[in-house]
Amino acid sequence: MLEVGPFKFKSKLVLGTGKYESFEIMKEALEVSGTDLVTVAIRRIDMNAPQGKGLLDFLDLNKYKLLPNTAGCFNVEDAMLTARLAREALNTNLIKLEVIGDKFSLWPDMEQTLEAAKMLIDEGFVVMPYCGPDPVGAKKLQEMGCHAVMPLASPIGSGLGIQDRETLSIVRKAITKVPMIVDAGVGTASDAAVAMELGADGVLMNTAIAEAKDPVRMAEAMKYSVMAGEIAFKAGRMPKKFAADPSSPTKGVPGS
Amino acid sequence: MKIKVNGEFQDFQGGTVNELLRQMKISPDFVAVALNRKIVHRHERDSIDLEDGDILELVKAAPGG
Repeated sequence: MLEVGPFKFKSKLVLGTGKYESFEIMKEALEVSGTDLVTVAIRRIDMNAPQGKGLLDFLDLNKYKLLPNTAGCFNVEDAMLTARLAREALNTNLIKLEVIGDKFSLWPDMEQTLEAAKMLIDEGFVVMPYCGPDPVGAKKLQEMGCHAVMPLASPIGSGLGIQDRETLSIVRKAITKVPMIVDAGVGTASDAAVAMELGADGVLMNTAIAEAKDPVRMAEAMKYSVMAGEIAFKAGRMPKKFAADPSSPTKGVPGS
Repeated sequence: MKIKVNGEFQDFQGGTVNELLRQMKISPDFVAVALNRKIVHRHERDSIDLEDGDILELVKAAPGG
């Protein structure tokens, strides 16, 4: 169970809807993954083709809660406008807040993220901010009343996996009141498992599935890796040792 | 009169936001409208008249992560 503000989700896997070869493949991947929270972008309607089938024709809104994002916004004003448009279009107060500070790395601008988060909270949004793996910034987001904190594991769409486990662990320790969802950077199933083993409450991903050779199979792998990582975290891993420690008795070896 | 819709100038005979949506054959469900960067709520779409030079954003959900 993943709890974000007043919302409860069965799955700890949050999936994006971008970059799929077709809406049909996306739909099947979402279904196989077991997710019940999916992200969408908010974009201008194409005035040359205002009709025709769109994303929402392929999303069963009884099955999935929509999490609109403010992707592509580089300042507070655009992020606020996008969030308000999202609430109006989709009738939801959930928002994945992204205020990007750098086009090359798509790194979040924490100063503007904090400012926008405050305004969104004041306007009654349930705010899930994307942030850097920064324990101080993440804690500020938590303290101001964000409903989740979503640090990146590596740059958006890079598939580089969990680049800095130790720092992410420190963020985990700082975030005690709301879910910490690792957002961005997962490349394959083991990355999702590592995120959960570090104690994440959930993992948000898009490209790792959409750009896999077989997205539906990868969605299935992600479903199990998130579950396995969570169980492993709860089980508590053995301590690391710097020398071998035999698993079989050293006494009674035949012929010794 | 001329209004700017999603970054492009359009000729519009005048009327409300809903009349513009109908003229552009846009289904009003799951669509949001901003007029000069302010949200036009659903219940306001029949009462707000557009003026020459207005800037509109018409948006919907799109694939994204």
